[in-house]
Amino acid sequence: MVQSIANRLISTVPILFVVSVLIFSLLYLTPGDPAQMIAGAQATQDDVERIREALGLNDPALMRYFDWLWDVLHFDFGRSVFNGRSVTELIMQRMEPTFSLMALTTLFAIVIAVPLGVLAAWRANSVVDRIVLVLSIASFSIPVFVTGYVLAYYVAFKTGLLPVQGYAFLKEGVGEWLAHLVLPSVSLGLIYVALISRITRASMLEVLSEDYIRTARAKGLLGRRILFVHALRNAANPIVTVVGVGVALLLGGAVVIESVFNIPGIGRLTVDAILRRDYPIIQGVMLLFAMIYIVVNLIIDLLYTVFDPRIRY
Amino acid sequence: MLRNPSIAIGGGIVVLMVLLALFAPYLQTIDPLSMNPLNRMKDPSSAFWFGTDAYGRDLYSRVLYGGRTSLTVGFAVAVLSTGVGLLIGLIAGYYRSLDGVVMRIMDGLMAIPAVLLAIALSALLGGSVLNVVIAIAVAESPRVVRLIRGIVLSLRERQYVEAALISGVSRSRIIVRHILPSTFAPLAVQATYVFASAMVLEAILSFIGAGIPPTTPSWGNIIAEGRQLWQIKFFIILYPALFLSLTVFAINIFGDGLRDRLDQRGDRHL
Amino acid sequence: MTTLRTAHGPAETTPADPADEVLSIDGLTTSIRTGQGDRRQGEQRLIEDIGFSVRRGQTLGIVGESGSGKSVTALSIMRLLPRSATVAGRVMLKGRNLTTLSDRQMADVRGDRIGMIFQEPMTSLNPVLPVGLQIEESLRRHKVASGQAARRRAVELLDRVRIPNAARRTAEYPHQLSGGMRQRVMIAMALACNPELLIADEPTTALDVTTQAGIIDLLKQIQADDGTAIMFITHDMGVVAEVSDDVLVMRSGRIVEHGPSQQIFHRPAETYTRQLLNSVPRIGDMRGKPGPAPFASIGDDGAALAPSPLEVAKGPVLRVTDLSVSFRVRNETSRFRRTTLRAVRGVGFDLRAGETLAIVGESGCGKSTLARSIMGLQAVDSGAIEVAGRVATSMTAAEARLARKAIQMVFQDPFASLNPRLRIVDSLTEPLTAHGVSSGGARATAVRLIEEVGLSAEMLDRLPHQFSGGQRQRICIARALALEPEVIVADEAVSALDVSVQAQVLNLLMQLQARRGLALLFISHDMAVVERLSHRVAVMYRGQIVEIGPRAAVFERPAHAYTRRLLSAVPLPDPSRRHKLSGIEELFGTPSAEPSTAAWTDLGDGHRVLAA
Repeated sequence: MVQSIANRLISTVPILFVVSVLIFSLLYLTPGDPAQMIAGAQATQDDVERIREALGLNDPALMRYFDWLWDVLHFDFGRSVFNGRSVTELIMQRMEPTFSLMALTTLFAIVIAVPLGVLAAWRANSVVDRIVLVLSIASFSIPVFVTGYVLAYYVAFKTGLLPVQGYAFLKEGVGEWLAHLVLPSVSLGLIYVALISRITRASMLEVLSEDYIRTARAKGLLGRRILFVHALRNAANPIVTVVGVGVALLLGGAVVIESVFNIPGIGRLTVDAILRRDYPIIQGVMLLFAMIYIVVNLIIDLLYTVFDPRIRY
Repeated sequence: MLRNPSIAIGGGIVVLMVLLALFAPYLQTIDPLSMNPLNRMKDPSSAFWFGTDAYGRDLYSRVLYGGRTSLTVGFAVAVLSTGVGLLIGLIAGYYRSLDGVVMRIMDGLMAIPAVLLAIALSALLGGSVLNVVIAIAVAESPRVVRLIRGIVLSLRERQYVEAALISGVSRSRIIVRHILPSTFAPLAVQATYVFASAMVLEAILSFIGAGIPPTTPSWGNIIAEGRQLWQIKFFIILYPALFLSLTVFAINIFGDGLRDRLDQRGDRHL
Repeated sequence: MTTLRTAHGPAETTPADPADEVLSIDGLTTSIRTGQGDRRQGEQRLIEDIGFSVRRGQTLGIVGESGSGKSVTALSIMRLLPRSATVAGRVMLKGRNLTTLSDRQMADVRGDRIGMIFQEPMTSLNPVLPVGLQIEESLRRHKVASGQAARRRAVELLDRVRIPNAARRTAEYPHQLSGGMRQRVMIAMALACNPELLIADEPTTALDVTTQAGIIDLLKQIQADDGTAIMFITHDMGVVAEVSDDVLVMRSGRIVEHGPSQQIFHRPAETYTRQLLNSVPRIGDMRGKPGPAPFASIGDDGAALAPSPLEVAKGPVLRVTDLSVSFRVRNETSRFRRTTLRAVRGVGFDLRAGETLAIVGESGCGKSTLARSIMGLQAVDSGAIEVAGRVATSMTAAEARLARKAIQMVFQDPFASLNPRLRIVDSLTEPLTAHGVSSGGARATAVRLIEEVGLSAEMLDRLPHQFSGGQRQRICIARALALEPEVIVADEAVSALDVSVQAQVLNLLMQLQARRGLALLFISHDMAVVERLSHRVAVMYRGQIVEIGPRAAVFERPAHAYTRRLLSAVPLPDPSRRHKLSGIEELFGTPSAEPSTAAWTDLGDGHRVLAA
């Protein structure tokens, strides 16, 4: 078991290497001199030179990459080009809102989506199934920020039931915290609900046509036991896979939804950094997001064994 | 067609949107780029069907022209991603020696959230229609690669492929005759999903401020411009958003209909 | 194993007592709605006017080829068909009409009064639930036992179906059991509530012949103890003869013939039954015959062309020497650990022109891997393969491509081995154009080939889905002949076909061999088929050839214990020659492989056996 997890961890190294190269080479994408771009038109030659030095642009690319990688491996993502603050510190400060948002969204999405998918599969091609289908396609089709604004406008702004924008830290009280997160979570979660409920439906439909379901019926078992004891566990692995892949969706969505609701999280930090070309922050955040994605999917891999005794590590 | 209402309805709406975009110059009421400070933030009326924006530009005309840009971006990304994805997927699936390297690169690309990758690429390259298309295509392609590679891997185990191999048919001929044709149906389905997803991503890029500049109206950047005024003039967001969402919805149900018709699975995501 | 044996008297001697009648069916007709939500909506009759009865302690065998409606009959009785199916007629179980029960009432009957076993024990058991639980839940559902009592009863049931260490096995999952044991668990599950009727739908089809013998023996034993009525559905005439008191022959959804077993097998009244029986090869039929013999009177011209006995003149066209193949497989217990599976170990043989060598063995013995290695589809570890005098294993890719012309293959599944998008003519000409034949010349050859395999030239422009399984297999044979090969490797080439079609395709192979002087490497699990068409036989077991020799020698004087076991386990399509089943044991543990000290003993006339 331990050996296998170790092997699995080692197998993520090549992916992380690719990610690091990709992220590092973003610096060289900008047409022209990035230092000049960052400094702006009115900058003095000294300013530009200082930024060049800070970004390491005077060194050959390969050497610069290994320097950067060395620092990253020591959890040193560098300092912001603009305010000189440590990237690690900046990210740490903004962890809570982003992780609160993601945890709440995941929870709400799974709790709603799985029963919805099971219902749609059990009554395949019925009216209920079709409504679930149309709603899920709709949520794929509306950009997440539009959902955010519609909810903010009609639910919060028009009625005043919920705070329109902003974030309340946990230390300000759970009620406040929750009230500020409801709308962002719902807007962010809709696509996730659509994704999970559709895979649940598809996976359940496949399982329900299996021979062992016929066996269960031949034993005289009744609907609910067949559905939840015999079918759902067999259908679980594709569902958790999508939950894992969907984390990328959630991370990307958080970047957008934090801007809509003015939440001071990592997403906002990223957007601001990208628009100002604050490379060390961009690189740091992207690496962090990629690592979260990889770690979550590693955990998902281990989860497979819980649902399927045929898989062992 | 009649047996599959989602293809008919979805396709019908898409065709309508394409026609609106094509004939925008004849359907417009006021030049979409002309600013008029006297007409700022007007509510919808018989003069300004969808109202006006913060610069006094006519929203109805802007939405018509915006459709041109958004549909072009979606179409271009769909063609680019499926083309690149097909090529790389075939190579990775058939030449096992390259598979490891290619798929690690794809895994790496997919580990970065597509939205974030597209935002970063577009912002750093500088906003223009071409750069937005490239940025979104890079974010979309890995999933096409994975789809095609999976299909090729399962096809090359088929008995009829082995039978061809045994009778001395060359590898390149096997790819062209036995493998490539079987990728077209799933690729077509996937292309519709990429098309839909690219239009949404374009809107998100504009919203963040990393998209196409407002001098070329797109549904995305019209919505983005309404952002500052959302609490007072919500319709500035609403109308372009309705057009965008309706079109994306139509493409999606068209894709689902196509999938059911061709009996294919697709890999949907955003 | 057990020494208890079932004394099996023919059914006609017992007088029918109406109180003994367990199941009585009358006018059972099942139709299914087709093209739902479509304009071309219609109804398709699956079975029509089926009527029969089964008494206590009796086994009714239902036999038929694919599409005969035998499984639909069983599912109609159980009401396990999809909602789009409608069932009419009367199904009386102990005087109660099942067709008029509510869904809930019917669910109470299923698993309680009627137990059912299915074809695939691997897919019929839930892979994520322990086998004990799967038995217990039936007991709990029908309130036969609960709590600890249910647990104890599950162990008893596993014990009863002769699963060793039953108490420990209840916690195991289906994938941890062998195929035979899984089917035993299915039987235990079906018997849990002491049903009056057991429906067995092809219960041994997916199993190896030695495992099959054990399962049949078990079912007979249970019937003798409990007097359960059994409906035994199968396509295998041998199995039917082995188990049934009465036999029902079905075809295209209707009953063709119904009567006592002895009568059906010895004095069939209907032409179809006779044809069916004529298509079935029986072990022992070939005693005293010098060479392969086509099947007679099965509605084709097979009998007209009897192949001559083999003239051994030339040297071997295929020589395999000391071939070993292994692959790294994912360990069953860990996704990341891999183990080496030695699929083929030191196999060697010669094959001469005009000769059929059969490689026979049970699933997993390595026979298909052997075929694939010979074809160059599987890399080998060591050993040599010589095709027409050239060493194929040491060739460059270009050389191998040329050498492959001399050896071609016919696969098992005729539905998977033709590209569904290509017209038949394109599949047939593909090998030719690949070797530089002009398209006009290739088309002419395709016409000749398709006529040679008994189809007509006008079929060339059709797509594969327009053909039946047997026709497709003929097309595959034609494709294999396109390059004028000297050797054809047929890997279970007739296993997927119905018996009557199987006989026709076998006749075709024998004809082609006689006409073209082909060497045939015929890989099969079916001993009776092998006896029918081979000159020589090699028996494979756990990756090795354990016995090889002339057909008559191997079948009449089997020297290896495994060959003997294999031969005695094959059920004969003759109800008067039963009783030899008991004593055939399914191996529960893993028998140790042949010791490395094993050496070949020559019994003369090329008959050799591997022994310690």
